[in-house]
Amino acid sequence: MKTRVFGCGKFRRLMYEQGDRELSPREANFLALHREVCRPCERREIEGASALDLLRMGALQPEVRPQYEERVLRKLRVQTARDTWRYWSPALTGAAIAGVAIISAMQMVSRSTTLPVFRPSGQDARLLRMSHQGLPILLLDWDVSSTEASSPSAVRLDP
Amino acid sequence: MYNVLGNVAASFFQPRIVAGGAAEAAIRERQWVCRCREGDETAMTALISRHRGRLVRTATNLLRDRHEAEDVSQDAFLKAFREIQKLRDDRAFSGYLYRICVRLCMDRLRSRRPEVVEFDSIQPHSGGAVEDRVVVERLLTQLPAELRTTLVLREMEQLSYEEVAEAMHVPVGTVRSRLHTARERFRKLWIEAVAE
Repeated sequence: MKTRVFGCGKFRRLMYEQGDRELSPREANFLALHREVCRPCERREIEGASALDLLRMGALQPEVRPQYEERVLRKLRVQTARDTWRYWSPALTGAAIAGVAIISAMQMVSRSTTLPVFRPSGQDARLLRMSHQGLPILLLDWDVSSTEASSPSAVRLDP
Repeated sequence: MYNVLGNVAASFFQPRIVAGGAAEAAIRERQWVCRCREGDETAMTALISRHRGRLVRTATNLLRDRHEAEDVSQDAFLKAFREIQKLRDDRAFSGYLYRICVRLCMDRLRSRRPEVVEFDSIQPHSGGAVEDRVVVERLLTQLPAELRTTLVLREMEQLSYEEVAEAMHVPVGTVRSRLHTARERFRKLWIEAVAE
């Protein structure tokens, strides 16, 4: 018959937990008995305690540099301003695009009333007249640079 | 006789005074948090002064870098103030702030590349405080972020299991198992370092 007297796994768990909580008398008794019998576990416990002591001694106690609060508040103000801009920037960009579009549309509408006058001169005018004999001839003012170019009547009929 | 009575009276009233002071501080902190919601910078300064030491210390022990720790602690304050509207209970500000700081530290640790540590140049048994810190730093770099954070919060910051669980946003059982694993790994790493 195989009897399990103690367990190294349980010892490993309890050897760390004894620093975290108060062990029950039964658990404490188990640890003591196991420690006496199992040398590797005893050594492991010593090593573990030494390692954790080293870890605790390695804790740092840093000094906070002066003007810490001011630096945090300054960062907070910058971030708040940035967030405000980020929040409103799509609306502002949309408004700017809409404004440009409206101005462009108004420009196009105002220019449509001043179209250049087409008036063929010399040879072209004669050719046009010949090809449309008997009919009223469409005579267009071609000379854009002339003063008539700014005339609102782009097309006129010549009997 | 009067001295004895005086000592008894002092020992009787002392805990009440301490408890009263803590309660008063808690009430004041709630007022500061309320004013912070309205953007009061004086209240923010008061809250920063109250919590900065603990935050910087925890971040330094987690990251083992003072400058980075200060940056992270400042980021934690910024995040806490900007998202203070999400905080439902004003009394929970301290834990809320601490949780943010721990999370930011863990993010930093995860983003770091794992280092290959050589122990040839250092002597773990030299006994000096500086040498101890160097050894601890090098051993900690070899632990994953979760194990390292659990170990540091428990062993260096002396937090209870419940506090560690709250700070890391994990169940207490997870803290217990992680702590056991972290301690075992740290012990093995230390043994290896000593053996080299």
